[in-house]
Amino acid sequence: MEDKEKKPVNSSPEIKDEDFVYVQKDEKIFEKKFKTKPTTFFKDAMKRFVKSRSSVVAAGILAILIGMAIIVPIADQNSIEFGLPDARYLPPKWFDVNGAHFMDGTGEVTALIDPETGLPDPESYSDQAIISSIKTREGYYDAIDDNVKKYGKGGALRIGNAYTSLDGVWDPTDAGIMTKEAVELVGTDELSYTVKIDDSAYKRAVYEGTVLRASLALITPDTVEGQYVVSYLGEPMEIEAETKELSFSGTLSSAVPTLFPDDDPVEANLAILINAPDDVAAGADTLMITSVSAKKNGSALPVASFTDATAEVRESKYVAYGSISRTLYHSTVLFGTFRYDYYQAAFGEKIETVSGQKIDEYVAKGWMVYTPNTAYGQDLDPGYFELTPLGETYCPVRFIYSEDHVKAGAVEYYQVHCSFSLYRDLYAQKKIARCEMPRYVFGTDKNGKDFFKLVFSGLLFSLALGALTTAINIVIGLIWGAVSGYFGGWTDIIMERVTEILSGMPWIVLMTLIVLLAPKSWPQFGILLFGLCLTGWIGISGTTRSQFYRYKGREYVLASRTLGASDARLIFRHILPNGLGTIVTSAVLMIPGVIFTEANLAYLLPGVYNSSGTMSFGITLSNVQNDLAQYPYLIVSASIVMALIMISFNLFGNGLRDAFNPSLKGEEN
Amino acid sequence: MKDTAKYVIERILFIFLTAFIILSITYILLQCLPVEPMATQPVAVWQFWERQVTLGFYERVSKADVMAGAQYEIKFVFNGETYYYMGKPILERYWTWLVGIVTRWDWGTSTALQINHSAVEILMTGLPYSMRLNIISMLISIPVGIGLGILAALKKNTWVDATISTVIMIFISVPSFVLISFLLILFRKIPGFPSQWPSDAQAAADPILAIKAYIIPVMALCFGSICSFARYTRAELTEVMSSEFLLLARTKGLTRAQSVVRHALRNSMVPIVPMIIAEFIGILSGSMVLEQIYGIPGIGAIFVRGINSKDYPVIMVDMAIYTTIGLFATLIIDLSYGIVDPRIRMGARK
Repeated sequence: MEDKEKKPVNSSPEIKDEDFVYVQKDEKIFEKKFKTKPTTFFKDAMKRFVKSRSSVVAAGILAILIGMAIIVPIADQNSIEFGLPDARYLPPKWFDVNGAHFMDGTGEVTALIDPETGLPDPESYSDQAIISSIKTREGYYDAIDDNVKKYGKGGALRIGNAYTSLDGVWDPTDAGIMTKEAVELVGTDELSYTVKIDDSAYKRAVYEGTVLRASLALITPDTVEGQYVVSYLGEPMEIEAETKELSFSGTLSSAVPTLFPDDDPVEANLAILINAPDDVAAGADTLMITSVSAKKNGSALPVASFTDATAEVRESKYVAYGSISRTLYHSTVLFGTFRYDYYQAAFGEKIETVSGQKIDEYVAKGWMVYTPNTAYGQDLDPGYFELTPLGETYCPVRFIYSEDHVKAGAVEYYQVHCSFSLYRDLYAQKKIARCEMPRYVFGTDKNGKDFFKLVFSGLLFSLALGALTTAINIVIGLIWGAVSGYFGGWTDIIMERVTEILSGMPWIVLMTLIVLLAPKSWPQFGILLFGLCLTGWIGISGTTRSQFYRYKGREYVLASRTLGASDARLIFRHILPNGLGTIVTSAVLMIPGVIFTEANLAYLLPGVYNSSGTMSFGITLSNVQNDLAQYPYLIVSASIVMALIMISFNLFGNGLRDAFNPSLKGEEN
Repeated sequence: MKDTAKYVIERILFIFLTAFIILSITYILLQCLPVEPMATQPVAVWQFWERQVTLGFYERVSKADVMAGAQYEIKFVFNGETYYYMGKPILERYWTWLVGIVTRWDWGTSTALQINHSAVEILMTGLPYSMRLNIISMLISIPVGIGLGILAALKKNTWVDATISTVIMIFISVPSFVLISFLLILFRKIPGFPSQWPSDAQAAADPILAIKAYIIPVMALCFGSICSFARYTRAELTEVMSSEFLLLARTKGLTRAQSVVRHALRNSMVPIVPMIIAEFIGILSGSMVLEQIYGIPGIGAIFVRGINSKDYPVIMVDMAIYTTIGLFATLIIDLSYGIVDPRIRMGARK
């Protein structure tokens, strides 16, 4: 008993008896509800996904672009089946014509101006579409083109020996220009022939250390048809920097006695020839002729004289003799800079000649009333006409100025000169969406097609191709990878070799073969789909295979198997769902890959692959590549859409990958 | 070591086998397409057919009944005489082609681009342009890309990193053919800048122009690969930077710079080396389109011209070049892993 007292059972006085009560004594124990909300695999991923701001923004942009790709081709009623030849290369128009000229369909144009009217060539620029004053400045033009011929004046006619040395030896024959019409000359005639040369121009062309010789001559037809005899009027003159003119004056019988053996008249062409010596450098053999005056016995020979080189080119009093190159040098022209409303020019009201057939059509539709003249003739007063008020109906004719009524034998027709509004006519033909001046957000392409609609219908094509390709590739890849990974062994080895060989084939080789060999009757979509699905699944099958390697040995799979689950059940119910996140991610990342591949093909196989009608995004893009220099807005708008779709797909895909597999976060970004 | 040698040999043999299979399939499939020699002079076409007969791909048909029954493939009138040709069976042609390659290195003659010229020679004229463009792009993008990646990793989570990462994200997604359009529009404002590849004569006359001509295509090609390198380097380096051995390096007294240069960079370079080769392949196929857009007479441009004029032998050789380069690049990538990273044993079973 003593021992008992010595060793107290409970020596610590702080612990009370109440502390020795069971926690859950007399309590009923139930399963408790989780305090946290239940979540699924996808909800969990979603929660992580929305945290990444850039991915959410990308998803938003992507949704907008995809939405536009679906809506625009339906909502935009402008036809892209047929182009409008009048509306080629219209710039983008977002707003009405405004002071800042931002996206209002106008452009700054510099063109040659007709000095008489003060307007540019009416063939190319309608004066009703010029919306600013024309600022003019004088300039020079150094080439012959139709506008310069029309509007230029002065300058010099530049003739050069166009002899090309084939064997490296520079030995040109005499060449130059001669009058188109021959002049009747007799031996006693006093001829005075003066050619004024622009010396400043000469200085530019001359090379050091060479001497250029030129001469005046008379050219007569030879006995052999098509050949000529040249009779020089005096010795060839050396052209030096200060030479201002070439001239001849004297009696013909003493100057060229061989040509005038008797008093018979001779038909001769006056000529200015270049006698380039052997040592003259190519390019230095150039004469700049500003004016020519020819006189016979004191009276001018208009067929051979000119004072205005540009006018000479227009009238071509002189033609080439021998191999000669002719251009204009410093023809004075008037350049005008003005703002031009391309839409007004293409669609606005213009004075045009409209056939009676069309008028009858409009009359039949009840848009106007017109009674043609009973008389015949040109520029008659118009017959009785009545137009429906503006805005209510679509009559393209807005006013009639005059009528031509022609009767030639059995043929009788009339046409009217009227104020005609093209967009109303196009609307009547169902070629544009609304009866108003069209507005093309991205402008129009070389065929006059609405580029906005082209881009988005192309995008729809490419997105659809991408989505379908991805779906098919995932199915094939999953099955292939699952079978190969699940069964392993020889099955795996053989299947792996097959994928290895297939993946060794560059996509360009594969696609080329398919595009070349596919029957022409196949639709483009089908050809592309086939080509893209042939090897596209390899990546997915690879990841699936490694998934299976990782999971097939797990205990839960073994457990399921002991319970008698079939192979198919194990594959599809137990192992495959583990890779769902990866599959979704690779699906999203595969679509931009398809768009990229398709666009590459459009550039690489243009002729073969463009032939059929459907327009993919790649074709839309590659078609406007050649317009880059002159109409950059086309390629810019298409490229921006392309860049946006690629960037947002990639950002979205990366966001998804991080969301599904947080352990990978930041690994590749 | 023995394992390694065995593995390398196995891989090389397999690559050859793969190349052989792919090229055989390509050849046989291309043989299914009709041959259409195109030349301005009929004598060249006649020479072409006669050559095909001598080489054993086609045979002359002379029997009257065959001609009457129209059992010929090609009817060709030259110098008032009509020639009939008939293709041998495809497999026989395939065998002749193989023998030709092995014995004479004859891959066939061009049918349109330069009729009767060796297709290999035609491609060889284009190869230097493509290779020069690709190698210059690589030489620029490797240091710039890796440099940017290192910068971004070292300044992780600062505005520098954010800017670099954003730029990377943008340029890695934008295809080079979109990029070159923007570059062309941009550079058009600068006078004296070629918007097209200058011809050989122009380039010879003006060496500065020849150098300028590289700027736009090289930039278009570079941006993408610079971004891939930078992204990869940044990812690798940030991973290494957070590893324990780097902490140890700092604890033993190395400065940050020392630890980065000696330990982090070296380790992060391991996956970059194989990536350089992979990127080269990417640039090679990207440059095909650029050559087409910019008018560079490289193998990509020859390919497009070949396709447009249905010059199948040239296309065949072109595709063979792409295939072999691609296959050998994968081989080198596989092997280089083992060389740069001693931890990876080639051919080791997992």
